[in-house]
Amino acid sequence: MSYIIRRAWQRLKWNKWISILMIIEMILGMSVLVYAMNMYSSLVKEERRRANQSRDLCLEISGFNEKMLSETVALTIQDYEKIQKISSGKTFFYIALPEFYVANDKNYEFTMILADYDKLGLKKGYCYWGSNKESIEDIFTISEMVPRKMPTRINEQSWKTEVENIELKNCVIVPVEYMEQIEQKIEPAYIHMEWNSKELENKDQMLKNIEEYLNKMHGEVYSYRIYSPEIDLKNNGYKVKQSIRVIMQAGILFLIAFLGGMISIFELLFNHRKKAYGISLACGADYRTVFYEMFAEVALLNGIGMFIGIGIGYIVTYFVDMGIMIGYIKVEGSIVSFIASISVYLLITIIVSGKSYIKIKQRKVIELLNGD
Amino acid sequence: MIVLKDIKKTYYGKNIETNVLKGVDLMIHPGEFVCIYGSSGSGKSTLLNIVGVLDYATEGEYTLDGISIKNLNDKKMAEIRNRKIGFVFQAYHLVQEMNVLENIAVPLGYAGMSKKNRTARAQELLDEFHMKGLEKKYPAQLSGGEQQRVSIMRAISNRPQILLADEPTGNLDSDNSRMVMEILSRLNKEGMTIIMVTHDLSLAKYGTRIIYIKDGKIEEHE
Repeated sequence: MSYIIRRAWQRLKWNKWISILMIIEMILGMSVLVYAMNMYSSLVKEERRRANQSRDLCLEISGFNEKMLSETVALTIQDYEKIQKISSGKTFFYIALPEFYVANDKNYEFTMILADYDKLGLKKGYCYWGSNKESIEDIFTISEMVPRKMPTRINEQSWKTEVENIELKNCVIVPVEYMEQIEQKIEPAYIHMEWNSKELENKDQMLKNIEEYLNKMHGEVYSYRIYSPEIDLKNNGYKVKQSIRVIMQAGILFLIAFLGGMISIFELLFNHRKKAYGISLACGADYRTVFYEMFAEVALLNGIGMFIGIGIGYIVTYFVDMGIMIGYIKVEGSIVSFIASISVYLLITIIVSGKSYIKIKQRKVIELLNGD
Repeated sequence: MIVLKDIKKTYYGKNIETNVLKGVDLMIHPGEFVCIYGSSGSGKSTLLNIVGVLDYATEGEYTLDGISIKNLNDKKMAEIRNRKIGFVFQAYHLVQEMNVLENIAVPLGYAGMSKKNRTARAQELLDEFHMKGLEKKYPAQLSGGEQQRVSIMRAISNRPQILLADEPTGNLDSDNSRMVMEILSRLNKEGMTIIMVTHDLSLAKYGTRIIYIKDGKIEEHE
Protein backbone atom coordinates (compact mmCIF):
# COMPACT_ATOMS: atom_id res chain seq x y z
CA MET A 1 0.00 0.00 0.00
CA SER A 2 2.81 2.42 0.78
CA TYR A 3 4.23 1.87 -2.71
CA ILE A 4 0.86 2.77 -4.22
CA ILE A 5 0.67 5.98 -2.20
CA ARG A 6 4.27 6.78 -3.09
CA ARG A 7 3.47 6.38 -6.81
CA ALA A 8 0.37 8.56 -6.44
CA TRP A 9 2.38 11.25 -4.65
CA GLN A 10 5.06 11.12 -7.35
CA ARG A 11 2.45 11.70 -10.05
CA LEU A 12 1.01 14.65 -8.15
CA LYS A 13 4.46 16.19 -7.80
CA TRP A 14 5.20 15.61 -11.46
CA ASN A 15 2.09 17.57 -12.44
CA LYS A 16 2.74 20.13 -9.73
CA TRP A 17 0.98 23.15 -11.19
CA ILE A 18 -2.15 21.29 -12.25
CA SER A 19 -2.30 19.75 -8.79
CA ILE A 20 -1.93 23.15 -7.10
CA LEU A 21 -4.70 24.68 -9.23
CA MET A 22 -7.06 21.83 -8.48
CA ILE A 23 -6.30 22.04 -4.77
CA ILE A 24 -7.02 25.78 -4.76
CA GLU A 25 -10.36 25.23 -6.48
CA MET A 26 -11.29 22.52 -4.00
CA ILE A 27 -10.31 24.79 -1.10
CA LEU A 28 -12.52 27.58 -2.43
CA GLY A 29 -15.54 25.38 -2.98
CA MET A 30 -15.21 23.51 0.27
CA SER A 31 -14.61 26.57 2.47
CA VAL A 32 -17.62 28.39 1.01
CA LEU A 33 -19.83 25.33 1.40
CA VAL A 34 -18.71 24.66 4.98
CA TYR A 35 -19.19 28.30 5.99
CA ALA A 36 -22.67 28.43 4.48
CA MET A 37 -23.68 25.14 6.10
CA ASN A 38 -22.39 26.28 9.49
CA MET A 39 -24.41 29.47 9.26
CA TYR A 40 -27.51 27.62 8.19
CA SER A 41 -27.13 25.09 11.00
CA SER A 42 -26.65 27.86 13.56
CA LEU A 43 -29.79 29.62 12.36
CA VAL A 44 -31.86 26.44 12.36
CA LYS A 45 -30.50 25.56 15.82
CA GLU A 46 -31.59 28.93 17.14
CA GLU A 47 -35.03 28.55 15.52
CA ARG A 48 -35.49 25.19 17.20
CA ARG A 49 -34.35 26.54 20.54
CA ARG A 50 -36.88 29.36 20.40
CA ALA A 51 -39.65 27.05 19.28
CA ASN A 52 -38.98 24.85 22.32
CA GLN A 53 -38.97 27.65 24.88
CA SER A 54 -41.80 27.58 27.40
CA ARG A 55 -41.82 31.36 27.82
CA ASP A 56 -42.39 32.46 24.28
CA LEU A 57 -43.21 36.16 24.74
CA CYS A 58 -40.71 38.84 25.78
CA LEU A 59 -40.66 42.51 26.58
CA GLU A 60 -38.35 44.68 24.52
CA ILE A 61 -37.35 48.09 25.88
CA SER A 62 -35.74 50.72 23.64
CA GLY A 63 -34.51 54.11 24.83
CA PHE A 64 -34.93 56.97 22.35
CA ASN A 65 -34.60 60.13 24.37
CA GLU A 66 -30.86 60.33 24.91
CA LYS A 67 -31.05 63.37 27.19
CA MET A 68 -33.31 61.72 29.71
CA LEU A 69 -31.97 58.17 29.54
CA SER A 70 -29.58 58.55 32.47
CA GLU A 71 -32.23 60.15 34.70
CA THR A 72 -35.16 57.84 34.05
CA VAL A 73 -35.43 54.14 34.83
CA ALA A 74 -37.14 51.89 32.31
CA LEU A 75 -39.05 49.88 34.91
CA THR A 76 -39.64 50.22 38.65
CA ILE A 77 -40.72 47.76 41.32
CA GLN A 78 -44.13 49.42 41.27
CA ASP A 79 -44.37 48.81 37.52
CA TYR A 80 -43.58 45.16 38.08
CA GLU A 81 -46.26 44.82 40.75
CA LYS A 82 -48.81 46.44 38.46
CA ILE A 83 -47.89 44.20 35.52
CA GLN A 84 -48.20 41.10 37.70
CA LYS A 85 -51.74 42.22 38.56
CA ILE A 86 -52.63 42.78 34.91
CA SER A 87 -51.26 39.36 33.97
CA SER A 88 -52.86 37.59 36.94
CA GLY A 89 -49.42 36.70 38.29
CA LYS A 90 -48.22 35.04 35.10
CA THR A 91 -45.27 37.34 34.50
CA PHE A 92 -41.76 35.93 34.84
CA PHE A 93 -39.46 38.79 35.69
CA TYR A 94 -35.78 39.15 36.55
CA ILE A 95 -32.97 41.60 36.14
CA ALA A 96 -29.52 40.23 35.23
CA LEU A 97 -26.93 42.75 36.32
CA PRO A 98 -23.27 42.06 35.45
CA GLU A 99 -21.05 42.81 38.43
CA PHE A 100 -17.37 43.45 38.41
CA TYR A 101 -15.60 43.72 41.76
CA VAL A 102 -11.97 44.28 42.68
CA ALA A 103 -10.66 43.13 46.06
CA ASN A 104 -7.35 41.83 47.42
CA ASP A 105 -5.73 42.61 44.06
CA LYS A 106 -8.11 40.20 42.36
CA ASN A 107 -10.91 40.75 39.86
CA TYR A 108 -14.24 39.11 40.54
CA GLU A 109 -16.97 38.79 37.92
CA PHE A 110 -20.47 37.48 38.49
CA THR A 111 -24.07 38.24 37.63
CA MET A 112 -26.51 39.62 40.18
CA ILE A 113 -30.02 38.36 39.52
CA LEU A 114 -32.88 40.39 40.98
CA ALA A 115 -35.85 38.05 41.07
CA ASP A 116 -39.24 37.57 42.68
CA TYR A 117 -38.53 35.35 45.72
CA ASP A 118 -42.17 34.28 45.93
CA LYS A 119 -41.99 32.86 42.40
CA LEU A 120 -38.74 31.01 43.16
CA GLY A 121 -39.75 29.79 46.60
CA LEU A 122 -36.87 31.56 48.34
CA LYS A 123 -36.79 33.14 51.81
CA LYS A 124 -36.47 36.88 52.21
CA GLY A 125 -33.54 38.24 54.19
CA TYR A 126 -31.02 36.13 52.30
CA CYS A 127 -29.00 36.44 49.17
CA TYR A 128 -28.32 33.17 47.41
CA TRP A 129 -24.92 32.39 45.88
CA GLY A 130 -24.42 29.93 43.01
CA SER A 131 -22.01 27.01 43.51
CA ASN A 132 -19.34 28.52 41.24
CA LYS A 133 -19.35 31.79 43.12
CA GLU A 134 -19.60 30.76 46.77
CA SER A 135 -16.03 31.81 47.39
CA ILE A 136 -16.94 35.46 46.84
CA GLU A 137 -19.73 35.74 49.41
CA ASP A 138 -17.40 37.07 52.11
CA ILE A 139 -15.75 39.55 49.77
CA PHE A 140 -18.88 41.02 48.24
CA THR A 141 -21.54 41.60 50.85
CA ILE A 142 -25.05 42.86 50.23
CA SER A 143 -26.49 44.97 53.01
CA GLU A 144 -29.25 43.46 55.12
CA MET A 145 -28.90 40.11 53.42
CA VAL A 146 -27.30 37.04 54.82
CA PRO A 147 -25.41 35.02 52.22
CA ARG A 148 -26.61 31.49 51.62
CA LYS A 149 -25.95 28.64 49.22
CA MET A 150 -28.35 28.52 46.30
CA PRO A 151 -30.74 25.52 46.48
CA THR A 152 -29.74 22.82 44.03
CA ARG A 153 -33.02 23.03 42.12
CA ILE A 154 -32.22 26.64 41.27
CA ASN A 155 -28.43 26.28 41.04
CA GLU A 156 -28.81 23.82 38.15
CA GLN A 157 -31.03 26.11 36.10
CA SER A 158 -29.98 28.24 33.17
CA TRP A 159 -32.18 31.00 31.83
CA LYS A 160 -31.82 31.56 28.11
CA THR A 161 -32.32 34.99 26.62
CA GLU A 162 -31.96 36.00 22.99
CA VAL A 163 -28.35 36.97 23.39
CA GLU A 164 -27.04 34.93 26.29
CA ASN A 165 -27.41 31.92 28.47
CA ILE A 166 -27.41 32.78 32.19
CA GLU A 167 -26.24 29.89 34.32
CA LEU A 168 -27.45 30.48 37.84
CA LYS A 169 -24.50 28.69 39.40
CA ASN A 170 -22.44 31.71 38.30
CA CYS A 171 -24.84 34.21 39.89
CA VAL A 172 -26.06 35.66 43.16
CA ILE A 173 -29.85 36.04 43.55
CA VAL A 174 -31.23 38.97 45.50
CA PRO A 175 -34.87 40.05 45.99
CA VAL A 176 -36.45 42.11 43.22
CA GLU A 177 -37.18 44.82 45.79
CA TYR A 178 -33.43 45.50 45.90
CA MET A 179 -33.81 47.23 42.55
CA GLU A 180 -35.01 50.38 44.32
CA GLN A 181 -31.55 50.75 45.87
CA ILE A 182 -29.65 50.28 42.62
CA GLU A 183 -32.06 51.84 40.12
CA GLN A 184 -29.42 53.90 38.38
CA LYS A 185 -27.34 50.83 37.56
CA ILE A 186 -30.20 49.07 35.79
CA GLU A 187 -30.15 49.47 32.05
CA PRO A 188 -32.99 48.33 29.75
CA ALA A 189 -30.87 45.48 28.36
CA TYR A 190 -30.64 43.91 31.84
CA ILE A 191 -34.42 43.77 32.29
CA HIS A 192 -36.14 40.51 31.33
CA MET A 193 -39.88 40.10 31.38
CA GLU A 194 -41.36 36.97 29.84
CA TRP A 195 -44.66 35.12 29.49
CA ASN A 196 -45.87 31.71 28.43
CA SER A 197 -48.64 32.52 25.94
CA LYS A 198 -50.43 29.24 26.73
CA GLU A 199 -50.96 30.36 30.33
CA LEU A 200 -52.52 33.71 29.43
CA GLU A 201 -56.23 34.35 29.18
CA ASN A 202 -57.21 37.06 26.69
CA LYS A 203 -53.60 37.18 25.73
CA ASP A 204 -53.82 39.96 23.15
CA GLN A 205 -55.78 42.29 25.41
CA MET A 206 -53.57 41.59 28.37
CA LEU A 207 -50.36 42.27 26.46
CA LYS A 208 -51.85 45.42 24.98
CA ASN A 209 -52.72 46.60 28.48
CA ILE A 210 -49.16 46.01 29.67
CA GLU A 211 -47.67 47.88 26.73
CA GLU A 212 -50.08 50.76 27.22
CA TYR A 213 -49.31 50.94 30.91
CA LEU A 214 -45.55 51.06 30.41
CA ASN A 215 -45.75 53.57 27.58
CA LYS A 216 -47.93 55.74 29.77
CA MET A 217 -45.45 55.60 32.65
CA HIS A 218 -42.20 56.02 30.79
CA GLY A 219 -43.19 56.67 27.21
CA GLU A 220 -41.30 59.96 27.00
CA VAL A 221 -37.98 58.16 27.25
CA TYR A 222 -38.58 54.52 26.36
CA SER A 223 -40.71 52.52 23.97
CA TYR A 224 -42.01 49.07 24.92
CA ARG A 225 -42.87 46.14 22.73
CA ILE A 226 -43.99 42.63 23.61
CA TYR A 227 -43.00 40.17 20.91
CA SER A 228 -42.40 36.53 20.14
CA PRO A 229 -38.67 35.82 19.59
CA GLU A 230 -39.60 32.78 17.54
CA ILE A 231 -41.76 34.74 15.10
CA ASP A 232 -39.29 37.60 15.06
CA LEU A 233 -36.51 35.23 14.09
CA LYS A 234 -38.64 33.64 11.38
CA ASN A 235 -39.33 37.05 9.88
CA ASN A 236 -35.75 38.32 10.15
CA GLY A 237 -34.34 34.95 9.37
CA TYR A 238 -36.04 34.65 5.98
CA LYS A 239 -33.71 37.10 4.29
CA VAL A 240 -30.71 35.65 6.06
CA LYS A 241 -31.65 32.19 4.83
CA GLN A 242 -31.89 33.52 1.30
CA SER A 243 -28.38 34.96 1.59
CA ILE A 244 -27.06 31.75 3.06
CA ARG A 245 -28.68 29.73 0.27
CA VAL A 246 -26.96 31.91 -2.31
CA ILE A 247 -23.59 31.34 -0.66
CA MET A 248 -24.26 27.62 -0.42
CA GLN A 249 -25.19 27.51 -4.09
CA ALA A 250 -21.95 29.33 -4.91
CA GLY A 251 -20.03 26.71 -2.96
CA ILE A 252 -21.84 23.88 -4.70
CA LEU A 253 -21.25 25.48 -8.10
CA PHE A 254 -17.55 25.77 -7.31
CA LEU A 255 -17.47 22.09 -6.45
CA ILE A 256 -19.44 21.05 -9.54
CA ALA A 257 -17.04 23.09 -11.67
CA PHE A 258 -14.20 21.45 -9.80
CA LEU A 259 -15.65 17.99 -10.50
CA GLY A 260 -16.05 18.78 -14.19
CA GLY A 261 -12.57 20.23 -14.32
CA MET A 262 -11.10 17.26 -12.53
CA ILE A 263 -12.79 14.77 -14.85
CA SER A 264 -11.46 16.66 -17.88
CA ILE A 265 -7.98 16.98 -16.47
CA PHE A 266 -7.76 13.34 -15.51
CA GLU A 267 -9.06 12.37 -18.93
CA LEU A 268 -6.22 14.39 -20.40
CA LEU A 269 -3.75 12.88 -17.96
CA PHE A 270 -5.03 9.42 -18.76
CA ASN A 271 -4.30 9.92 -22.45
CA HIS A 272 -0.88 11.20 -21.50
CA ARG A 273 -0.25 8.34 -19.10
CA LYS A 274 -1.50 5.33 -21.03
CA LYS A 275 2.05 4.10 -21.50
CA ALA A 276 2.86 4.61 -17.83
CA TYR A 277 -0.16 2.53 -16.83
CA GLY A 278 0.86 -0.05 -19.43
CA ILE A 279 4.34 -0.19 -17.92
CA SER A 280 2.87 -0.70 -14.44
CA LEU A 281 0.75 -3.57 -15.72
CA ALA A 282 3.64 -5.05 -17.69
CA CYS A 283 5.82 -4.93 -14.56
CA GLY A 284 3.31 -6.91 -12.55
CA ALA A 285 0.59 -4.58 -11.27
CA ASP A 286 -2.92 -5.92 -11.70
CA TYR A 287 -5.81 -3.69 -12.77
CA ARG A 288 -7.00 -3.34 -9.18
CA THR A 289 -3.61 -2.02 -8.10
CA VAL A 290 -3.67 0.51 -10.91
CA PHE A 291 -7.15 1.60 -9.73
CA TYR A 292 -5.78 2.02 -6.20
CA GLU A 293 -3.00 4.21 -7.58
CA MET A 294 -5.53 6.38 -9.40
CA PHE A 295 -7.81 6.48 -6.39
CA ALA A 296 -4.90 7.40 -4.13
CA GLU A 297 -3.83 10.20 -6.45
CA VAL A 298 -7.31 11.70 -6.66
CA ALA A 299 -7.94 11.13 -2.95
CA LEU A 300 -4.69 12.87 -1.98
CA LEU A 301 -5.41 15.81 -4.26
CA ASN A 302 -8.98 16.17 -3.04
CA GLY A 303 -8.02 15.42 0.53
CA ILE A 304 -5.51 18.26 0.74
CA GLY A 305 -8.03 20.68 -0.73
CA MET A 306 -10.82 19.34 1.47
CA PHE A 307 -8.98 19.60 4.79
CA ILE A 308 -7.66 23.06 4.09
CA GLY A 309 -11.08 24.12 2.81
CA ILE A 310 -12.85 22.78 5.90
CA GLY A 311 -10.24 24.48 8.09
CA ILE A 312 -10.76 27.82 6.37
CA GLY A 313 -14.52 27.37 6.49
CA TYR A 314 -14.41 26.81 10.25
CA ILE A 315 -11.98 29.69 10.84
CA VAL A 316 -14.27 32.04 8.91
CA THR A 317 -17.25 30.63 10.84
CA TYR A 318 -15.75 31.42 14.23
CA PHE A 319 -13.59 34.46 13.61
CA VAL A 320 -14.98 36.41 10.67
CA ASP A 321 -18.27 38.28 10.68
CA MET A 322 -19.45 38.79 7.13
CA GLY A 323 -22.48 40.73 8.33
CA ILE A 324 -24.88 38.13 6.99
CA MET A 325 -26.11 36.53 10.20
CA ILE A 326 -28.53 38.24 12.60
CA GLY A 327 -26.27 39.92 15.16
CA TYR A 328 -27.15 38.05 18.33
CA ILE A 329 -27.07 34.56 16.86
CA LYS A 330 -23.82 32.78 17.54
CA VAL A 331 -22.49 31.10 14.41
CA GLU A 332 -20.88 27.80 15.30
CA GLY A 333 -19.40 24.85 13.50
CA SER A 334 -21.68 21.95 12.84
CA ILE A 335 -20.95 18.25 12.51
CA VAL A 336 -23.40 18.20 9.60
CA SER A 337 -21.15 20.45 7.53
CA PHE A 338 -18.17 18.24 8.31
CA ILE A 339 -20.04 15.09 7.29
CA ALA A 340 -21.37 16.79 4.14
CA SER A 341 -17.82 17.83 3.21
CA ILE A 342 -16.51 14.30 3.62
CA SER A 343 -19.40 12.99 1.53
CA VAL A 344 -18.71 15.48 -1.26
CA TYR A 345 -15.02 14.57 -1.12
CA LEU A 346 -15.75 10.85 -1.39
CA LEU A 347 -18.22 11.37 -4.21
CA ILE A 348 -15.78 13.42 -6.28
CA THR A 349 -12.95 10.98 -5.61
CA ILE A 350 -14.97 7.93 -6.56
CA ILE A 351 -16.43 9.51 -9.71
CA VAL A 352 -13.10 10.80 -11.03
CA SER A 353 -11.02 7.72 -10.23
CA GLY A 354 -13.83 5.41 -11.33
CA LYS A 355 -14.10 7.09 -14.74
CA SER A 356 -10.36 6.83 -15.31
CA TYR A 357 -10.32 3.22 -14.18
CA ILE A 358 -13.10 2.23 -16.58
CA LYS A 359 -10.97 3.56 -19.44
CA ILE A 360 -8.00 1.47 -18.34
CA LYS A 361 -10.01 -1.69 -17.81
CA GLN A 362 -11.32 -1.52 -21.36
CA ARG A 363 -7.78 -1.85 -22.70
CA LYS A 364 -5.27 -4.67 -22.79
CA VAL A 365 -1.77 -4.14 -21.46
CA ILE A 366 -0.22 -4.06 -24.92
CA GLU A 367 -2.80 -1.48 -26.08
CA LEU A 368 -1.85 0.82 -23.21
CA LEU A 369 1.86 0.33 -23.92
CA ASN A 370 1.26 1.26 -27.54
CA GLY A 371 -0.69 4.32 -26.43
CA ASP A 372 -4.01 3.09 -27.89
CA MET B 1 8.65 -24.45 -20.02
CA ILE B 2 6.57 -22.56 -22.55
CA VAL B 3 4.16 -24.51 -24.69
CA LEU B 4 2.08 -22.92 -27.44
CA LYS B 5 -0.46 -25.04 -29.32
CA ASP B 6 -2.24 -23.83 -32.40
CA ILE B 7 -2.11 -20.22 -31.31
CA LYS B 8 -4.20 -17.90 -33.45
CA LYS B 9 -4.63 -14.18 -33.14
CA THR B 10 -7.18 -12.14 -35.05
CA TYR B 11 -7.68 -8.39 -34.86
CA TYR B 12 -11.18 -7.14 -35.56
CA GLY B 13 -11.73 -3.74 -37.09
CA LYS B 14 -14.65 -2.14 -38.91
CA ASN B 15 -15.72 -4.92 -41.27
CA ILE B 16 -12.13 -6.12 -41.34
CA GLU B 17 -10.57 -9.19 -39.75
CA THR B 18 -6.80 -9.44 -39.68
CA ASN B 19 -5.36 -12.87 -38.92
CA VAL B 20 -1.95 -12.07 -37.53
CA LEU B 21 -1.15 -15.54 -36.18
CA LYS B 22 -2.58 -18.51 -38.04
CA GLY B 23 -1.82 -21.48 -35.85
CA VAL B 24 1.56 -21.35 -34.10
CA ASP B 25 2.97 -24.40 -32.35
CA LEU B 26 6.05 -23.80 -30.26
CA MET B 27 7.83 -25.29 -27.28
CA ILE B 28 10.58 -23.41 -25.44
CA HIS B 29 12.68 -25.14 -22.82
CA PRO B 30 14.24 -23.47 -19.80
CA GLY B 31 17.63 -21.95 -20.50
CA GLU B 32 17.11 -21.47 -24.22
CA PHE B 33 17.91 -18.25 -26.07
CA VAL B 34 15.31 -18.20 -28.79
CA CYS B 35 15.39 -15.59 -31.53
CA ILE B 36 12.17 -15.07 -33.43
CA TYR B 37 13.14 -13.63 -36.73
CA GLY B 38 10.79 -12.27 -39.37
CA SER B 39 9.94 -9.26 -41.45
CA SER B 40 7.71 -6.41 -40.34
CA GLY B 41 4.09 -7.54 -39.98
CA SER B 42 4.94 -11.21 -39.77
CA GLY B 43 3.39 -11.55 -36.31
CA LYS B 44 6.56 -11.92 -34.25
CA SER B 45 5.77 -9.10 -31.78
CA THR B 46 2.20 -10.36 -31.45
CA LEU B 47 3.54 -13.79 -30.57
CA LEU B 48 5.89 -12.31 -28.01
CA ASN B 49 3.06 -10.28 -26.43
CA ILE B 50 0.99 -13.43 -26.04
CA VAL B 51 3.90 -15.28 -24.44
CA GLY B 52 4.43 -12.29 -22.11
CA VAL B 53 0.70 -12.24 -21.15
CA LEU B 54 0.38 -8.70 -22.44
CA ASP B 55 -2.20 -9.85 -24.97
CA TYR B 56 -4.52 -12.84 -25.40
CA ALA B 57 -4.67 -15.41 -28.16
CA THR B 58 -7.97 -15.60 -30.02
CA GLU B 59 -7.65 -19.38 -30.16
CA GLY B 60 -5.22 -21.99 -29.02
CA GLU B 61 -3.61 -23.12 -25.85
CA TYR B 62 -0.75 -21.45 -23.97
CA THR B 63 0.76 -23.28 -21.06
CA LEU B 64 3.49 -21.85 -18.86
CA ASP B 65 5.21 -24.33 -16.53
CA GLY B 66 2.19 -26.58 -16.82
CA ILE B 67 -0.37 -23.86 -16.03
CA SER B 68 -2.90 -22.91 -18.67
CA ILE B 69 -2.93 -19.14 -19.07
CA LYS B 70 -6.47 -19.10 -20.48
CA ASN B 71 -8.13 -19.79 -17.13
CA LEU B 72 -6.13 -17.35 -15.06
CA ASN B 73 -7.69 -14.23 -13.58
CA ASP B 74 -6.16 -10.76 -13.82
CA LYS B 75 -4.39 -11.07 -10.47
CA LYS B 76 -2.68 -14.36 -11.38
CA MET B 77 -1.58 -12.99 -14.75
CA ALA B 78 -0.15 -9.92 -13.04
CA GLU B 79 1.77 -12.23 -10.72
CA ILE B 80 3.24 -14.04 -13.73
CA ARG B 81 4.29 -10.74 -15.31
CA ASN B 82 5.83 -9.69 -12.03
CA ARG B 83 7.66 -12.83 -10.95
CA LYS B 84 8.17 -15.09 -13.94
CA ILE B 85 8.57 -12.78 -16.89
CA GLY B 86 10.64 -9.68 -17.57
CA PHE B 87 10.02 -7.54 -20.60
CA VAL B 88 12.42 -5.36 -22.61
CA PHE B 89 10.85 -3.09 -25.21
CA GLN B 90 12.24 -1.44 -28.30
CA ALA B 91 11.06 1.96 -27.05
CA TYR B 92 12.49 1.29 -23.53
CA HIS B 93 9.15 2.35 -21.91
CA LEU B 94 10.69 3.94 -18.85
CA VAL B 95 8.49 6.01 -16.52
CA GLN B 96 9.47 9.62 -17.15
CA GLU B 97 8.56 10.93 -13.69
CA MET B 98 10.78 8.35 -11.97
CA ASN B 99 14.55 8.40 -11.71
CA VAL B 100 16.75 5.47 -12.72
CA LEU B 101 16.67 3.83 -9.30
CA GLU B 102 12.88 4.08 -9.09
CA ASN B 103 12.42 2.77 -12.62
CA ILE B 104 14.50 -0.31 -11.92
CA ALA B 105 12.54 -0.94 -8.74
CA VAL B 106 9.02 -0.82 -10.29
CA PRO B 107 8.52 -4.62 -10.40
CA LEU B 108 9.93 -4.87 -6.89
CA GLY B 109 7.36 -2.37 -5.61
CA TYR B 110 4.52 -4.38 -7.09
CA ALA B 111 6.06 -7.52 -5.59
CA GLY B 112 5.57 -5.94 -2.16
CA MET B 113 9.26 -5.43 -1.39
CA SER B 114 10.17 -2.82 1.23
CA LYS B 115 11.78 0.45 0.15
CA LYS B 116 15.11 -0.51 1.74
CA ASN B 117 15.27 -3.81 -0.13
CA ARG B 118 14.13 -2.25 -3.39
CA THR B 119 16.90 0.34 -3.19
CA ALA B 120 19.50 -2.30 -2.32
CA ARG B 121 18.52 -4.53 -5.25
CA ALA B 122 18.45 -1.61 -7.70
CA GLN B 123 21.89 -0.48 -6.50
CA GLU B 124 23.20 -4.00 -6.91
CA LEU B 125 22.07 -4.03 -10.53
CA LEU B 126 23.51 -0.59 -11.22
CA ASP B 127 26.86 -1.83 -9.92
CA GLU B 128 26.63 -4.96 -12.02
CA PHE B 129 25.88 -2.94 -15.14
CA HIS B 130 28.56 -0.35 -14.34
CA MET B 131 26.04 2.47 -14.13
CA LYS B 132 26.75 3.66 -10.61
CA GLY B 133 26.22 7.39 -10.24
CA LEU B 134 23.17 7.54 -12.49
CA GLU B 135 20.66 6.69 -9.72
CA LYS B 136 19.09 10.13 -9.53
CA LYS B 137 19.01 10.80 -13.26
CA TYR B 138 15.72 10.82 -15.12
CA PRO B 139 15.14 8.97 -18.43
CA ALA B 140 15.22 12.20 -20.42
CA GLN B 141 18.78 12.75 -19.18
CA LEU B 142 20.06 9.38 -20.41
CA SER B 143 21.33 8.22 -23.80
CA GLY B 144 19.50 5.51 -25.75
CA GLY B 145 21.96 2.85 -24.68
CA GLU B 146 21.70 3.85 -21.04
CA GLN B 147 17.92 3.81 -21.20
CA GLN B 148 17.87 0.35 -22.69
CA ARG B 149 20.23 -0.93 -19.99
CA VAL B 150 17.95 0.56 -17.34
CA SER B 151 15.05 -1.19 -19.08
CA ILE B 152 16.94 -4.50 -18.91
CA MET B 153 17.76 -3.95 -15.24
CA ARG B 154 14.08 -3.33 -14.55
CA ALA B 155 13.13 -6.46 -16.44
CA ILE B 156 15.48 -8.66 -14.41
CA SER B 157 15.18 -6.89 -11.04
CA ASN B 158 12.74 -9.48 -9.70
CA ARG B 159 14.90 -12.35 -10.99
CA PRO B 160 12.37 -13.72 -13.49
CA GLN B 161 12.88 -17.07 -15.20
CA ILE B 162 12.04 -15.67 -18.61
CA LEU B 163 13.14 -12.49 -20.34
CA LEU B 164 11.23 -11.32 -23.40
CA ALA B 165 12.90 -8.73 -25.61
CA ASP B 166 11.05 -7.07 -28.45
CA GLU B 167 13.58 -5.55 -30.86
CA PRO B 168 15.77 -4.45 -27.93
CA THR B 169 18.37 -2.87 -30.21
CA GLY B 170 15.89 -1.31 -32.64
CA ASN B 171 16.62 2.26 -31.50
CA LEU B 172 20.31 1.83 -30.78
CA ASP B 173 23.52 2.33 -32.69
CA SER B 174 25.82 -0.62 -33.41
CA ASP B 175 28.02 -0.19 -30.33
CA ASN B 176 25.07 -0.03 -27.98
CA SER B 177 23.38 -2.86 -29.85
CA ARG B 178 26.40 -5.06 -29.30
CA MET B 179 26.51 -4.10 -25.63
CA VAL B 180 22.85 -5.03 -25.16
CA MET B 181 23.25 -8.34 -26.96
CA GLU B 182 26.27 -9.22 -24.82
CA ILE B 183 24.21 -8.53 -21.73
CA LEU B 184 21.43 -10.80 -22.97
CA SER B 185 23.96 -13.52 -23.80
CA ARG B 186 25.45 -13.31 -20.34
CA LEU B 187 22.02 -13.53 -18.72
CA ASN B 188 21.25 -16.58 -20.81
CA LYS B 189 24.51 -18.22 -19.78
CA GLU B 190 23.50 -17.61 -16.16
CA GLY B 191 20.37 -19.68 -16.77
CA MET B 192 17.69 -17.20 -17.86
CA THR B 193 15.40 -18.21 -20.71
CA ILE B 194 15.42 -15.48 -23.31
CA ILE B 195 13.03 -14.98 -26.20
CA MET B 196 14.02 -12.15 -28.47
CA VAL B 197 12.20 -10.77 -31.48
CA THR B 198 14.28 -9.21 -34.24
CA HIS B 199 14.20 -8.46 -37.92
CA ASP B 200 18.03 -8.38 -37.99
CA LEU B 201 19.48 -11.78 -38.80
CA SER B 202 22.91 -10.78 -37.53
CA LEU B 203 21.44 -10.39 -34.06
CA ALA B 204 19.47 -13.61 -34.34
CA LYS B 205 22.78 -15.48 -34.38
CA TYR B 206 23.25 -14.67 -30.68
CA GLY B 207 20.50 -17.15 -29.91
CA THR B 208 20.76 -20.89 -29.34
CA ARG B 209 17.73 -21.33 -31.59
CA ILE B 210 16.33 -19.24 -34.44
CA ILE B 211 12.67 -19.38 -35.36
CA TYR B 212 11.61 -17.86 -38.62
CA ILE B 213 8.05 -16.55 -38.71
CA LYS B 214 6.30 -15.53 -41.87
CA ASP B 215 2.67 -14.46 -42.40
CA GLY B 216 1.65 -15.61 -38.96
CA LYS B 217 3.14 -19.10 -39.17
CA ILE B 218 6.44 -20.57 -38.10
CA GLU B 219 8.35 -21.52 -41.21
CA GLU B 220 11.44 -23.13 -39.85
CA HIS B 221 13.55 -23.68 -36.79
CA GLU B 222 17.32 -23.57 -36.69
